[in-house]
Amino acid sequence: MKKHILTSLALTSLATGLAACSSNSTPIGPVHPAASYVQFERFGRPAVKELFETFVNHQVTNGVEPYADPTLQNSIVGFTNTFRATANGNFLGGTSASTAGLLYPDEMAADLTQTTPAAYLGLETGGATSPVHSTFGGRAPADDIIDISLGAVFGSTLSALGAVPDDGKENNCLTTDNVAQAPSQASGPTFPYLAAPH
Amino acid sequence: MKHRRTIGSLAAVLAISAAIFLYTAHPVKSSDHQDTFNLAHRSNTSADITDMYVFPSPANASNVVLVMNVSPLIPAGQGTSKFFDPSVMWQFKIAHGAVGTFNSEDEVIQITVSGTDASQTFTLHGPGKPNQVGTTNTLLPATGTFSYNNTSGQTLSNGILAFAGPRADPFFFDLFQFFNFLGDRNYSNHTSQSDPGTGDTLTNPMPTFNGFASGTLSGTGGYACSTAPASNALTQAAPPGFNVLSYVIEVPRSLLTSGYSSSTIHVWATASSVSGS
Repeated sequence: MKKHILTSLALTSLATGLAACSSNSTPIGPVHPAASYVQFERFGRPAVKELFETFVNHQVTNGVEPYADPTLQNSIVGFTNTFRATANGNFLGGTSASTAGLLYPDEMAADLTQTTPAAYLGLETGGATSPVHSTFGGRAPADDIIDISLGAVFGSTLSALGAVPDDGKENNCLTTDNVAQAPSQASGPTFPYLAAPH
Repeated sequence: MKHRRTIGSLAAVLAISAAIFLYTAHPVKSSDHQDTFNLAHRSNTSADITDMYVFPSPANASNVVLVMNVSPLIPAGQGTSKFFDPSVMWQFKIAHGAVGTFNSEDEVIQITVSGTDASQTFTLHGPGKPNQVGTTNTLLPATGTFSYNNTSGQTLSNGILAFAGPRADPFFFDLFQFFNFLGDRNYSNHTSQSDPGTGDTLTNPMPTFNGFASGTLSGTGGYACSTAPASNALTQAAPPGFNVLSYVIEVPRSLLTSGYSSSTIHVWATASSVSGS
């Protein structure tokens, strides 16, 4: 208990300090009904920007549409090439192209004719990422999207699906991060579904 | 007893050290947190979209739920003291078409907010055809309004059930270990948005996550996977976890399918402002 209290105090004081250090103030602007709003942040598939794209390129991707984003598309291929070739340089190339084909454009797909549960990449993989083989797609709050993504990039997920011949470059040390959702993070059956704040 | 107290003190010091570590060395903690300098440095961080979810409504099979989480890393106990930035306009952008198509958006849901405290009011615009395709947008006519942190949700005239307010962040990832072998993604390893740092370079010749059983797995170079305990930045390493600000928009499926060529939707979330920054 003491540890928790002290940790909370440390977090609180640090957060307060960080807020106090900020030079910006919160704008109190009215809504601009006729104004043009310009995009500066974008999110589609979880962890795609973070995993594949260098930090300096994030701002490029944030300012464009996902279906017109060659920076991200090329980054998926380049990153996968680099990591799967690291061990012995005998890279075959198929997995990188397939990974880009799976994850680009950076949009979350869902089939609204399906009433089965959501599962990240369930639509694109014919239900392979869903325990009940659902092809709704989308993303459920409990989905382990990191392990799903790591399996595609570093593991044999794509070759197991028949999307590409096995290139033998799997890195088993990177196919899961070995962490799970905590009970306090789990969503529930009633609106607004996400767990109450900690 | 003395030993127990010493151990307790040591644990407290370690806990504080871990907390400081969390907030200084590794500030990025979700699937898309603090991904540019601009987003990391805004005093109100609600323009920073951390995650998006799309799932069938657990309560009504005719509906689908769209969730956009923003404002990463809200410490426990501080959720209800964080609010949305009234200079920002958030959108769910939707393109209809089969898997593998590259269509532009043909339907959008837009959210604006007025006020800066617990009396914030949100206005939902759409869903409808966007006035403009692309990254510069004007607002559709307003559909209805809803209030901050009304956990029952408010039903709008078109049947949408809407919520905006603090929730527990559902995301989980051993980000610290990820940074150990790909330091480029750590925002604090760059001095500016344009500083390339070390780039896409493996900073560890034997990249591995932690938590593998001894001798069971190996990497591509034949090296053993790490058996050190796995950590979880959002839960175990910093109990009792972090919060986010959430938009939870429950939409009748028909509003997203009727009149469109396909019932397969491709969704992405954006944050925009008049200034574009």
